[in-house]
Amino acid sequence: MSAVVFYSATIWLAVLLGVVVIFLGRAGTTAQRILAIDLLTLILIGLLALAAQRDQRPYTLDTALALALLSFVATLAACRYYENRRPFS
Amino acid sequence: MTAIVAGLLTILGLVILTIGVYGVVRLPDVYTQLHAASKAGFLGVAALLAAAALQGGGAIVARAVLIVALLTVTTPVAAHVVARAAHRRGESLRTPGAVDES
Amino acid sequence: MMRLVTGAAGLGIVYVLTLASTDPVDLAVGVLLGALLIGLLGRRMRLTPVGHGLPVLPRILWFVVFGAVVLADIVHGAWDVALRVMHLRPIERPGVVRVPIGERSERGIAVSALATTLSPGSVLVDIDRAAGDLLLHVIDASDPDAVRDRLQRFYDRYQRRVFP
Repeated sequence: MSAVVFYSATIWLAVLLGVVVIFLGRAGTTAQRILAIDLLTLILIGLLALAAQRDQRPYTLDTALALALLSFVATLAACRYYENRRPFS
Repeated sequence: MTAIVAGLLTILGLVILTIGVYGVVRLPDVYTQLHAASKAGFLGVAALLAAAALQGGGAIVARAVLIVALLTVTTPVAAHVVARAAHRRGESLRTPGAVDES
Repeated sequence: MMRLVTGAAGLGIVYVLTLASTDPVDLAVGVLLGALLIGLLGRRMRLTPVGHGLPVLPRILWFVVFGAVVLADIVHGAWDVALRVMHLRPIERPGVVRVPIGERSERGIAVSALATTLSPGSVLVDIDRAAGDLLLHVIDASDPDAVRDRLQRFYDRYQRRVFP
């Protein structure tokens, strides 16, 4: 992949990250915040995939795998806490 | 050739992710935002991972397949859990003209 | 027994993919670890027994058809939601629609929920066990009966032969 595509893609994803962070600060309800954090980790996984594509190093995708697993569990725990006022029922 | 396809897939992924983020910022309530956020996010990330897998060796392909399979199972569950929490806590449908049969 | 073998094999494949190695020793270790995990924890995660008695071979063939239909649904839904987000189609009446559970078993409910939530444009919100309904949030609920018809047709045509 050409360097132009890589750098512009990275900068664009960073801009999207910034937009989501601003939305996170202005969101009206708790569910919207949880949703924004979920979207934030998805964009981070996208950035890691870009980095793996450029460097050809598979270890970058290990990080993405761990991040995907962690964000899923975090979303579940946060929603349970929001719903029941305690994380484990 | 594969480099061109990978570049196109990368651009496709970026476009889908951008639509997702724009939808989250624009739409009025959690339920409609979920349609844009989690599904568009998943598809965009899948396109980016496919681009990485096209150019990488076996190790990258294996991990990309694993991540996409994992996201296929976890994204719907995460979306459902967010929607259920919002519904049980009584967050309202804020879109004008919304249908509510619950 | 069947459950233990297939589960252990699946977890072993996940283990090998995580390591990205083709060493048979790694596969053996992965299958062993998977069998250990399922033996220890499998009982806690059991759904109610299915007992459908569907023949195996047609079920596999129909699974391929089922997967293709779900994939087509995802592409179609993604296109629709993208157009709506980009102001090209109006978002007039999104909303929560009740869809009757019908003949679905516990596993059938889970598969239906996963398939509908995976395709953009519909999210499972809750299950109303007392009324026997699934509550779905769809992005175009201007005609709730059409949504109910579409899901019932999907179940009758494809899902019933794979995950009743």
